[in-house]
Amino acid sequence: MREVLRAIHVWKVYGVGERRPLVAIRDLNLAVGENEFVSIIGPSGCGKSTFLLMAAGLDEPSAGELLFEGEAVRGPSAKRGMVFQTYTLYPWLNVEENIRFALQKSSLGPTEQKALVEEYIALVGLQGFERAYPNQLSGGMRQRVAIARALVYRPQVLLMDEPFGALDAQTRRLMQELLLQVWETHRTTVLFVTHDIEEALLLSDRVYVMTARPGTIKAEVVVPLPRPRTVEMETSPEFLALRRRLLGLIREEVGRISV
Amino acid sequence: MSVSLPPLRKRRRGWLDLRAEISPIMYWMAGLGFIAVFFVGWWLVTALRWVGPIFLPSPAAVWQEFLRQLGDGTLWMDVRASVYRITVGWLISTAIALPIGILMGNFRFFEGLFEPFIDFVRYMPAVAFVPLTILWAGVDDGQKFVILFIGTFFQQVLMVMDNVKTVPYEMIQVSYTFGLSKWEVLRKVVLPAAMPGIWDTLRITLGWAWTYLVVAELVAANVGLGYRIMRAQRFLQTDTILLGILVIGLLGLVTDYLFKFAYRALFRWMEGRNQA
Repeated sequence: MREVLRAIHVWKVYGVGERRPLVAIRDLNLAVGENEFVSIIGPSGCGKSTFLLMAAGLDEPSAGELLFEGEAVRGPSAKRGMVFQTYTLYPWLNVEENIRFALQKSSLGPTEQKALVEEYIALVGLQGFERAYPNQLSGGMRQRVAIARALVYRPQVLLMDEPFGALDAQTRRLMQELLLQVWETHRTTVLFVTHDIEEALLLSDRVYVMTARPGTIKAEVVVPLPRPRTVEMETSPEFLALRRRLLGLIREEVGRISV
Repeated sequence: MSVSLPPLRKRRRGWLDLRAEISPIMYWMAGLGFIAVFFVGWWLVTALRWVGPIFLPSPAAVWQEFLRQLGDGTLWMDVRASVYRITVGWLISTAIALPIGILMGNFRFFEGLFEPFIDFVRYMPAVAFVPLTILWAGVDDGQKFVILFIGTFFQQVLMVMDNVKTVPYEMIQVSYTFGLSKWEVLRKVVLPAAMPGIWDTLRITLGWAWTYLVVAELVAANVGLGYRIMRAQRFLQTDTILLGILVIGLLGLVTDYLFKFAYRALFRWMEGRNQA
């Protein structure tokens, strides 16, 4: 498998040069292959979101290298798309305009752009809401727009930072199924950050477990569940065994910070 | 397909329950009613001679003064002069406050560069600058613009900075992932996102500019609403003073509502279930 993203001995230290620097990420190593769906899970504050920002080029490692397609990441680029937990839609643009906004640097002509935007609106099931403004949409619908907007310009990797974290349990389920479906049809490389074990298992090919701060990779778990996946698989013995394993790994870490 | 509905009840809710909605008619009637009560009270106080006319002229006397000034053209002349001064003075202030406030809200360097100085000047009373401004700018409209500027600019620039800072950082970050440059993000994301807040700042500061108008026309003016008030003070023409005050209040109210209606038309996208 061709490698898209690799972290080599990545550190993140805040307050460099100060008396008591804070080590947020400690010697982190990982790799994401082409068209692979990889999750990072870990207790809150472990540095997983910081790592994602660095992968996007929106933050810089204090030491080590982050390679994208074999080259060091230097600043943000349209090759790496991002979906945040909070709503980052432009409230003055409607659904269609929000998605089209991401195509500004695209070489496509206006008619092709329009067709593409329509295609992605259909993909996330928002037909009929093209003219609606973000303030008129529910939280789940807004994240659908955010996902369509992050996919429409075909970035080589999609970085997702707890994209469903702010949604209620029911909507969250629906969004996970939607993301599975989207990913099955438009295979792309995804690096997904979450603290939800079931979510990580359901979606991913591989899961990295992070330690509590200073965060580093504690374990790597391959998820051999067959695809296409469905929510029903969550009750399979295979899934439950994996869940138990991950739960144990996470529990050790949570125990470490709360004590 | 129509659904057959059971007999419906309206939700029982007192009009003085916390945050309870009331009908628009009630809302507007209350506001107009209060103004009416105010005028009736004024009329009563003067009609019953509780206060002498030299201290508080009757509504009728002010009305007479209004008709007189309307007839000889004084009112129109004053309104025109004052509206011109306030418009130009406020526009000059706004034209400079917008770019500087936007720079300060986006770049910590410019915030550090300007904020201490602005905080310092902001506390200086604009009125105290009147003698100086006459020395600097003479007695023409230029001097009025300077006073309006001193009174408005320093507040305006800090408010614009805060408006810009309310734009969520994630919105800026996500824009970079679409391949936009720093300046494109500033122009296409930060500015439109900050616009509703900035519009409100403009509305509020224009209101404040009206306060400084009288200050600006305090001395060395021969026309204008503030000038008319100041001159009437010398001759104890309280009806003229009250008329001037009422006209300024009315003009302020009208501009405020114009800004509010424009806001609703410009920022329709703000309406919705979840205000961002």
